[in-house]
Amino acid sequence: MRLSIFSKRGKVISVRPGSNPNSSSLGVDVTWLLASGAFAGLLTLFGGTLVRWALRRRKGKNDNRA
Amino acid sequence: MGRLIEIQPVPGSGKLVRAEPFGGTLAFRRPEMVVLVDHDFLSSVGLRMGTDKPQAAGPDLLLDPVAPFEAHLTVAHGCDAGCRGCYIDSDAQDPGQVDLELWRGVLAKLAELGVYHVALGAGESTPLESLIALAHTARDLGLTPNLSTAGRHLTPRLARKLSVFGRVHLSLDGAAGAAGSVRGRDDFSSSLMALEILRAYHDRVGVNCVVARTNCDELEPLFRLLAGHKVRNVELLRFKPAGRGARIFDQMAMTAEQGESFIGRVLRLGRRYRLRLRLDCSFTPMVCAAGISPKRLSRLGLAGCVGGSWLVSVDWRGRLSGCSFDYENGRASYRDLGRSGVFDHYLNWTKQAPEPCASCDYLSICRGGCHVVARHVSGSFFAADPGCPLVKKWQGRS
Repeated sequence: MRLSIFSKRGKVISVRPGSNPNSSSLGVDVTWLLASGAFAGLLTLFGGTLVRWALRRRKGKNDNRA
Repeated sequence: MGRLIEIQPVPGSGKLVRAEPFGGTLAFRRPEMVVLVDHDFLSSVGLRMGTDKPQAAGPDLLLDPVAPFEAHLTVAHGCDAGCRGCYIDSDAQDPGQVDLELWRGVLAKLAELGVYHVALGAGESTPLESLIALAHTARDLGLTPNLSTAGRHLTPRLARKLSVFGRVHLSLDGAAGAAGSVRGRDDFSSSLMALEILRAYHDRVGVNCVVARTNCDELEPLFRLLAGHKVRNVELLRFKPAGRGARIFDQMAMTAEQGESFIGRVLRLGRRYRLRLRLDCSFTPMVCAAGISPKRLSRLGLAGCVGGSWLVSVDWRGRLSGCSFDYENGRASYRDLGRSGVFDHYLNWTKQAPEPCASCDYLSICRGGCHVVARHVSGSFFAADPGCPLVKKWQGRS
């Protein structure tokens, strides 16, 4: 099966940018709230593309090994 | 591209994707982010990940993962700083020694569960070497360790060793006098020195700032100072009624006016000084009240009280809780990690949400705001967060 990194199937539910450095409570990056509403959509699109790319790359490696 | 992108394999299994009731989770080290995808997405990339009860993902559904994304570990509570609002009620007589074997066991259990991140903290009497040793253990287990510290005993020699941490944040509650207004003592100059040392030896340094009534209107000088020191990451934390903080909460809680204008103000300041701003979970009611659509907030991973779900905490006594500020509910210990039913009061909060939360469009995101604040003010963990601007508005109407 050929896996496209731009497939439209499925949904990225959310992308949590950054990593929480605080040992007492959970923080979330709100910098993106400054951008327009469309930016949240772009961020999830970016996250989804990255995930597809990373998984396709891993699959390619496994295929080569086989 | 491979160097710019690095996935963090799921600790314990080494897989790239962690199976979840709603689909799956992937954590990236570079760029730093956690991505939640649904079942159809996984199928589209050729993955079938079985969970016992597959759950469709939607804006009104709670996203409760199969295991926490992160754990907060307060490994010791000895500290002679004497901050008046210390949430762990630190003990000046405690030498702050760390039971490394116990904590290595906790880390192993967290890795077995597939937890991605651990945030380590301790009172300032604890030798940083102990935290560094635990961070190495965490790395060996596939976890990403982060550190928050007040940096009182930080030296360049120690700072060099902090590279084992993914991110290091210094506690700094304001510029000059504003910092002291929260802690009740002036240690601004030593904090600034610690910040400079950290900046020199670590490339992912930021600041954690507790926001209270006394410093809420003084954030701009801090942001200006941080921009001047090229510190771009700032996490703002709401003052909590925990530990010694409970005694002074009434005088430290933000006023209604401060709460209402907070989000607009910090976002404007963040843009002006080009900072990357993070808000802790207890500020979620304020973000929701700012009028941004629930769908947008959900896509950005905004979350209110996700105690016992997205995160868990273990304190220096080995007590397990859904949140570092809440050890009053139950008597769970770290041995209960992964056991079901321990955090039901958190996970079922929305099912018994009071008004106005029950009919609020943001309920699945906010989950009622900070239950620790609610319990302190009203006596009930299941009350609405009294600091929420929407709750205040509703109370004014009824």
